[in-house]
Amino acid sequence: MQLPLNLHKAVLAGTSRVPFDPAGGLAAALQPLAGQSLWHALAAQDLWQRAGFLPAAGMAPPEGAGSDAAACPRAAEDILQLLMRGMHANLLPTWLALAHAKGVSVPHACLVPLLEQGMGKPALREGLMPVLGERGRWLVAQNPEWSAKYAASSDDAVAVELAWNTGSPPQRAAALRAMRSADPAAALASLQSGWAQEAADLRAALLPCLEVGLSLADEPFLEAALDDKRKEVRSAARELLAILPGSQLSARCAARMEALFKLQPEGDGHLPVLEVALPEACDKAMKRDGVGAENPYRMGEKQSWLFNMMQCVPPSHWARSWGVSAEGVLQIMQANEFGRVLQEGLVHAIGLSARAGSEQAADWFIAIHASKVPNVRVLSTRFAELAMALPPSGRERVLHAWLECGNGSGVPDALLLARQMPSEGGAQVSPAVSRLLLGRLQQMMREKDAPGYGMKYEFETMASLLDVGEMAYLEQGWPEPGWAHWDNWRQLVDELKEALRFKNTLHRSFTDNKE
Amino acid sequence: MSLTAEQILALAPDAASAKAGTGQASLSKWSGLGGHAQALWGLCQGSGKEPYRAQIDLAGPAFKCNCPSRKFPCKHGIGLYLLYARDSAAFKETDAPQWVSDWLQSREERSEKKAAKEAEASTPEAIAAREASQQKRQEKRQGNVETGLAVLDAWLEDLAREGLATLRSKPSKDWEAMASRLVDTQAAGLASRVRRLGLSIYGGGNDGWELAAARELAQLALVRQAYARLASLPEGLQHEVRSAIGWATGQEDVLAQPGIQDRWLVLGARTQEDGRVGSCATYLRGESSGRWAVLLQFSAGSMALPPAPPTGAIYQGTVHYYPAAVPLRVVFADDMKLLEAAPGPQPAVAATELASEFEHYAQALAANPFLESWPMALEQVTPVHEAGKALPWSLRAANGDALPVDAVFRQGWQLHALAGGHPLRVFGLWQGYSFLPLSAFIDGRSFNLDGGKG
Repeated sequence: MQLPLNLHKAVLAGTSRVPFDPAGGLAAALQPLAGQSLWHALAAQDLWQRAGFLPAAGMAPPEGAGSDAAACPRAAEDILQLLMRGMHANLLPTWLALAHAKGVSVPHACLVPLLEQGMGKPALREGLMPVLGERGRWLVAQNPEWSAKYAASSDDAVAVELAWNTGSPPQRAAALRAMRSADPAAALASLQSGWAQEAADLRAALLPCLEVGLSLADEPFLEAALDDKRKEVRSAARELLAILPGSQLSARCAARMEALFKLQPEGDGHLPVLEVALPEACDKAMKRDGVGAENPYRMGEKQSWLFNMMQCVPPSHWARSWGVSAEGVLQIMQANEFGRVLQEGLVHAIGLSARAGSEQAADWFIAIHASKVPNVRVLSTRFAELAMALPPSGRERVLHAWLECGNGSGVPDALLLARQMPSEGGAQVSPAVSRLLLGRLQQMMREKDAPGYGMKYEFETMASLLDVGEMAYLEQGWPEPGWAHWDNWRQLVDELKEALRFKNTLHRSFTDNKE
Repeated sequence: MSLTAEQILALAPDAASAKAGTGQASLSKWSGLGGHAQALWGLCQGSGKEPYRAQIDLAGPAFKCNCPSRKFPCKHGIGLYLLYARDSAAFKETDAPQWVSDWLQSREERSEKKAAKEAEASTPEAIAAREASQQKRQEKRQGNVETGLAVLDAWLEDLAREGLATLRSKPSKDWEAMASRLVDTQAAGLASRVRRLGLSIYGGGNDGWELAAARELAQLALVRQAYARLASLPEGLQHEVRSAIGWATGQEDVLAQPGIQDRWLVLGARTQEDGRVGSCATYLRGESSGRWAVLLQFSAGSMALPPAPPTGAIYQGTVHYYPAAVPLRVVFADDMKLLEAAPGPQPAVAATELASEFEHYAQALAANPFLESWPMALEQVTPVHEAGKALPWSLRAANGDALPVDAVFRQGWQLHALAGGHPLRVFGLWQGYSFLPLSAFIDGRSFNLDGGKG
């Protein structure tokens, strides 16, 4: 709302510079007090304008948002409000994932705060996008800042193409993975067409992307890469060929070892005995297949050759060729003087077969710990990590077996594996495994008077993993109420129970109807 | 009947308490939970040996807890209420234990005593005695105020001579000094306006601040001039001028006025901070009288704001208006009780004609030219966003008339998200040139849009 020009000028510049005549306009009706006539005139003008205000007419109606298919249950919305206020905020991704699974979108009142939160958090954006609903998408489209961040996801073929052709190295690698999952053969062709021109670093960064959609069709290209000038490229190609079921690399390594192995039958009911001769020399062809390339455990040179070859052969080969079970293979190897070397190679081979998506890989993970021979503890600290490559059902099976295995050797690895799992976004283990995990936790409590440094972390892992379908087991198995050390533990236990109860409420909130 | 989680959290004195309160809202922390139509109670295991006894009088709502926290309501009260809102089945319906019934009884006795005291205070002798002593105090104060106003005069004249264009190059402490001077001379109302104006000049970055500042200065000059001629003004206007200067009318005097009984719908609230003092103005409208009522609550220093009536709730009872040309501010009588926390869907109301709303506004302004803001409940308006405009948000009425939304309103997108481009009810304040939304009502739910509270 504008003021008359002379009044406006006088207000800005002051009456000492712009003489103000109170006799003009509205001010004529006033009896101004000397010195303040400017303010009085302005006050009168202000009142006059305010009293006569008329709203602007003729605004066109805006384009409204379409309606969402399913409304979010009120109970779920209340939970979301609590999550957004910072209570159990780590469960926000779980809420979003559940909403997505139930076909529910984010309630309108929560859209703006979540969109704002997601501006700096790509992971949150990813979870939020599928549950924005009609209202959310309508809102994002109108706010340029949001629409820039909440753009279509990476399966957009044009964006992938652009990233592949002009992106930075990490963007190109991500694009190649996306292309492989869409069409492995076409993606391989794209990689091959520019392969010779790619810098060595980039070749080493791009080659591992072929693991997505890996098949025998990739073998010729990978075989050729075994002769690459760059060491990293050669070892990446070797790893992929070792993962690839039925590869010639595996067959070559198996054949070399078969020549060194001699299996002596021991009669009915006994496992055969394995005699191993160490390889005499490492020729050019062996070197090409990675023999002698790495010796991570400081073994003797010839032993390390054996280890390198062992890595490249799928474990199922030995079971098949020796006609024994997974446990049998392990026991035969353990009985040998080079048992440690053989087993260590086998563990790596098991990890690779998990990455190949082998159905039996889980059996091998289980067999390692189930084997009755003492001192079976695997050297590789990454053993539990290797099991993460298994599909969720296999992982669950491994976790279950490790927790239950009689000699207890699987428990530390089981806890390591369990600790990795929560990072997989809202993972939850089966009721049976939950009981076992909780039992182990309770056992750890009984063995110690007070929680050690890492215990809080252990409890947090449990809070994010344990099943919350049937809650009764949560009240069982704890030390007696009169236990002397309860004071040291009570807070951790209460927090765990509370976190799981809250999660239970969260899950139920999508189906319960409070109103 | 219970408040919704949002309403409960809005009762917390600050954001930290709200968060602490949600932390207490879990069954594992409580024992002995119980409730009946009038109250809720429970025992909360805190860090002490004995559990804390938390209790809530649902009619207030009023809280009591024997924990040592100075926050009010404390996290246990908030947590207990949240737990009830989420899981009322956990509360056994029983007779109240001794410690609860004692408290409820003492509350009742207190209000009876208060009523008796009021009755005593409204006898003619008491009124006469009070008036006599007031007269004396007032005369002394009048002298003080005159001194302050003389300084204000000189200051306003200087500003008029110098103009506002160069204002920002002068130190901001001049404003603080002027405000302190006015406080010293017992003109607190003017003082806080001067302080707020100073903050808006040096704090805000918007173009056109000169015009807004000039208008506020003109208002100060107008109040000041009206005070000079106080005796010649109608009685209602005298009250307006005096309260604008900073004269407070005692609550007992207000309660001595005849009250108005009604069902009152809480439409929204505005919280403000100006350095030392925080205030919360809650707007209610009488269902049958159609009258607006404003409940003002203050916080000072470490004392937090008392819990305000939650937006969307319905109260039943009597309010007493402060004497004024356009009576708005009220005191709640003791019979004012929370009737329904979240009434849910309501019968459709005809779309607001903005022209007639402004007719009412003009009438109010004619009766009280010092009116700063005017409550409006706009039925069936649609928020519209126009990127690139100085005031990007508007509210469009059904007939295409539109109001600009105030630049200080920070929740434009939130309101837009709630409406989705469709009409809804928006309550807010008309500030003279723009509208400040304070709450929205859609699908039977109220949403608070007041951005003043942390």
